[in-house]
Amino acid sequence: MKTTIFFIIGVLLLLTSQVFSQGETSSAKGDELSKGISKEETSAKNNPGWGVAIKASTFGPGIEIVKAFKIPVNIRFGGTWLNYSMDISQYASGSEDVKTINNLHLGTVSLMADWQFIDFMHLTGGVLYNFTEEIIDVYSNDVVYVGEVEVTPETMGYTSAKIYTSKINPYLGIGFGRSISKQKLVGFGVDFGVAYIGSPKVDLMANGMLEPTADAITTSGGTVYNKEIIENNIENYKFYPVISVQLSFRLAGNK
Amino acid sequence: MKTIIKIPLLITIVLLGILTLMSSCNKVTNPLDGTKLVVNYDLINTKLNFKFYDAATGLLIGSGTELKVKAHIEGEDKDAVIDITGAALDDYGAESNNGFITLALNPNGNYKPSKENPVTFTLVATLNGYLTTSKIVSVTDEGNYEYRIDMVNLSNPPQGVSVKFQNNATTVNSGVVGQTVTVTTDDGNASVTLKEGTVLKDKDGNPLSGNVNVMITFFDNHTDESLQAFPGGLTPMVNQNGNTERGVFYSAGFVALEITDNSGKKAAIVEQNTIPLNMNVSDNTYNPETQMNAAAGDEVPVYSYDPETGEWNYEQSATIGAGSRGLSVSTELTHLSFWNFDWFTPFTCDEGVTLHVNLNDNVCNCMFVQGIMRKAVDNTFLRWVGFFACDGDDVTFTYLPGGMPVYIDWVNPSCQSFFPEVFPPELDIPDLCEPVTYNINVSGHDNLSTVIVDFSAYCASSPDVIIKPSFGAWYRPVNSWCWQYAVMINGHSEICGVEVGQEYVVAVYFNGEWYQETVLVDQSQYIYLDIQIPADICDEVFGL
Repeated sequence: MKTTIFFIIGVLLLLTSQVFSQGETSSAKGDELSKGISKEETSAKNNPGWGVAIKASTFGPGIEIVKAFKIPVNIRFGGTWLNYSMDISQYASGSEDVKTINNLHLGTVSLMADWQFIDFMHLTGGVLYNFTEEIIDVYSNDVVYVGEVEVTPETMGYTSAKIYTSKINPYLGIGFGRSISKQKLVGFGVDFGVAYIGSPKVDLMANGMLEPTADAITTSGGTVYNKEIIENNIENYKFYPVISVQLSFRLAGNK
Repeated sequence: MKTIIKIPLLITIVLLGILTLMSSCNKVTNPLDGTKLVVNYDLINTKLNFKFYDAATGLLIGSGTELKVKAHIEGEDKDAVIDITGAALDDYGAESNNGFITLALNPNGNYKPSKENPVTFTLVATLNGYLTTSKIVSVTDEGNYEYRIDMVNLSNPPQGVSVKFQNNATTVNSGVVGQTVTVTTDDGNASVTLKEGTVLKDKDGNPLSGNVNVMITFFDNHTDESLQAFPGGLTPMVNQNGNTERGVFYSAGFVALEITDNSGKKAAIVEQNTIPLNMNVSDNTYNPETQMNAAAGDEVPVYSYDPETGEWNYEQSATIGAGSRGLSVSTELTHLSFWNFDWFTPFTCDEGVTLHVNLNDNVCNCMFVQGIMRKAVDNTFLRWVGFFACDGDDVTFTYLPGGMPVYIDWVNPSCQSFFPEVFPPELDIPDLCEPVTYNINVSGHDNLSTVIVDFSAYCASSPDVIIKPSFGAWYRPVNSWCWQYAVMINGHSEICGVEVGQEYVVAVYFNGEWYQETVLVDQSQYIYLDIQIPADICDEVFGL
């Protein structure tokens, strides 16, 4: 997993360095021209205007509205959304007799501020309204026999775990490229950051024969709740890595 | 250029390093570590409790001893019968423990009992030294049921039953009886004659040989203990005239005959001759055809009973005549089994009278009531009546003979201090088939309380799976043999009718085994957690 991340980052680094180094590459037309372009490109001053961006991130695909100011700060407002269901039975139980369906609902509404401290890099801070949740349903896929008694999946019941985080997540990251191109119509950027999501929470539901799995469980060691056990096991996963790539289009402002 | 690229690259590496460090600082924990899967095991909707009593002593057979009654299930719905754990019966058989067998009906759709589609089977009970008997069971609704089966100890028969063993009564050579012999019960009420030249063979056609032993058992038709222990009961299913019918016997008397050789072969087939059977008939025998006491000249049907299948078959009619002690009847036996001289009245209604239960008790919502149904015409025992009476319940009798006046005697003196009181103590019912509702008032005893029991179990092979079982349990005061039944649903039970400060024996039966413990009831709640289930049950029933 980490190798994959590093590979993707490496490719993106190369890609974005090509984008912003275009302004710096010497052209055959002469040093003056390249110097002129280079000067403007490497200037920390911003080119105010409006733009829209489409993006793909670890919170799913989305769009943003970008406002660039004279000062080297851009404000971005946008959202992401992705619904995805996957049958992970083979990985979860190792058997098709027990179905495990992972329903992932990614979604955010974000307000970000980019400080373009260098022409081709920015620091980003912001806040996300995060309505991401993951619902994992587990149920019997076929009739089960308890002795001679046939137990249908309906009778056996199913368990469902909903995992969600706190709604307001602060964000900090670093980006390459610009939220909106300074001189061109189209811009490209890649961002790396983390969102603080807090300790994930779990809602557990069960029905049929499995109903007491979601309730208080009294054992010789005391009363426990499966919900609390799972929350304790995942409480350290408080940070969510955000990697996004965006393609922006300048709508208005100086070009 | 190089510097410009180097700075962001450096920042990126640092940032990624921080991210990596954060994730690697957290030990990757399986989110499900420490969680438990908890399962309500409440699949069995119909529980059938059988209690086997010694007809003479009134005690449960095997109570405190190793005696085990063997039960075998017969009939077209025998596949519906399973062990209380859900496991299949071994070759449709089960063994009692401490006089108890608890069975169940498979809750699968095709076995679900209803009035339109009852589940009917016969339980045949055998035990060495006891007369084989059977009981026909017909279930029309899901629930908990209790059945009593009285068995005759041949060495200690109950009142009204006479047994005669004659060992080496005669000899047979290749199945042929060498010398005529007559064997008579000690009370002189029944006799059989093996005539010289009669051929005796077992059911497989193998001839008996050597010395033969004759056992003849006579059941009178008036004594409660005798009628309660009638093999097959008095509400059987009979095969006659090409039909199978369910009904009631008005009995004139019953004879069980068994002939064996010393190798253990039991005679079933009779050839060359018939075997004359003679039986005295009580003067008080009621003839439903004449609606008067039986008299000489009355015809009485003769039925044979196959103890191995619990089936009754019409054989012939016999004529009541004058005997040495009043009336008697004779017939010629063409094969060997048990023989009943009866007038058979078929059931004429599927549903009849209803009992509406008013339970006046501060402690219990339901109580088990028990009584004896007697024929009003001669006050003789007809059948046991027993059911769990819950306040407001309507209990409807099914499969009944019409026009038969009966009454229910609710008195149970041996367990009166523990069983509830029922009013009226004697309930008259003029016609069992009339759609009439009778109110009965049931009340418990003031000194009794409710005890709550919570229970959970697990299998050693899967300690993370907790099972909350549903089953029935029996309990009795240590100084009494009056067992009462309590039900646990999903690991929770509220046992009412218990006296705090009293010691009780609590027991469960499953998979042929009996588990018993003595408990001093000194609190209102008991919690039994993490009880380990036997490995064979885990494997066979739960697949764990």
